[in-house]
Amino acid sequence: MRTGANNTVDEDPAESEFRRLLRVYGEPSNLNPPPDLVARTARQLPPETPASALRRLYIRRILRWAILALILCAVLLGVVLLFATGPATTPIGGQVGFGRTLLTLQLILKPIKGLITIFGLPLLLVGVSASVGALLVLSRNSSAPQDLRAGT
Amino acid sequence: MDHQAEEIELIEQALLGNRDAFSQLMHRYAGAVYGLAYRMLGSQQDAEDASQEIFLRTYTNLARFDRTRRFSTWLLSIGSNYCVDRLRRQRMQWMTLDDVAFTLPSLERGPESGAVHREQRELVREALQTLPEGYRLVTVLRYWNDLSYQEIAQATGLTESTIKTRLHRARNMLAERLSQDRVDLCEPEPTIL
Repeated sequence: MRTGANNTVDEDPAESEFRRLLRVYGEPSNLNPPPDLVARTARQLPPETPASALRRLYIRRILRWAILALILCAVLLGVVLLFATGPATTPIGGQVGFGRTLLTLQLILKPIKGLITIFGLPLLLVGVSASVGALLVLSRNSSAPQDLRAGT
Repeated sequence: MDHQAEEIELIEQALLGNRDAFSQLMHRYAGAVYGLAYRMLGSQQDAEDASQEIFLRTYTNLARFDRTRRFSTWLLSIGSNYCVDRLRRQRMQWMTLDDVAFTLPSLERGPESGAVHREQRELVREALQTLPEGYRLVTVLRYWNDLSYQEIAQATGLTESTIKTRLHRARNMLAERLSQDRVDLCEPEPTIL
C-alpha cells in the first residue's frame, strides 16, 4: 500500500489540513491484528480450490432458492384449496404421503375458515386472545402453590 | 521479482489450492483488513470476526479476481461491502440488553500500539463511529488505507464526485467533533460545594 506521503495525486489544501489534524491525534496509525488471526482463518479455508468452493456455494444457493420456491408453491396451493368451495380435495390423491397431509391440513383449516366466515376475523381474534389470556392466568395460579412447595 | 508480480504468483498458486500461498497473502493484508473492520465496526471482536469472513470470501471468489486490478483494492472492496452489510444487519436486529452492553464503549485496551497517543486515538475512533456508515467508509479508505479517489470508487461503486462530497462533509464533521472533545478535555471538572 502507498503511504500518505506518496499519495499526493488527489491532495487539496483541505485534505492536507485534515491529515495534519489526524497527525496531532497520532493517526493514521497501524493496528496490530491478533497474532493468530491468519492461522485461525487458514484453518477455516475450504479444503478444495477456490473455483470448486465457489461452484459449491452457487449450487447451495440455487438449492436454497429452489426449496423456497417449492414451499411458496405449496403454500399457494394450500390457500387455493382452502378457499375453494366444495369438499376437501387434492390434485395428487389423498391416500398416502404428501396428498394425505394436504388433505388433513384442509380438513383442519376448513372449520377455522367457517368460524371466520360466521364471526368475522376481529371477533375471532378477540376470542382467541381472551382464551389464551385466561389459560395463562389459570396456569400461573395453578403453578404458584407448586413454587411454594418447591421453596420449602 | 517485484511486489505485484510476486502477488500474482501467490494468487496463481492459491487458485490451484495452495493454502500456504493464500496464507502469505493474508499475512500481507491482515493489518489493512483488520484496520478497516475495526474502524468501521468499532469493536475488536467484531473486527476479528469480520476479518476472518472477509478473507474466506476472498478465497472463495479468488477465481473472479481481475488481474488488471490491484489485489489490495479488490480485497478492500470485499471488506467494505461486508462491513456495510454487517452494520445494516446489526441495525435491523432488535436491540436486546446484551446488545446494548456490547455497543457501550469498551474499557479494554484497543489494538493500537504504544501508550502515548492511545487516548487521543481513542477519541478519533469514537469520532469515526459517529459518522454515517457511507461517510465513515470513504474516510477510512482514504485516510487509513490510503486509496486514491479512483480506487475508492472501484471499491465502493460510488462516483468520484460523491466520494469527494462525502469526504468533505466527513472531514468537517470529524474536525468539529474532535475540537469539541478537545474543549471537553480542557474544561476543569465541576466542584461540588
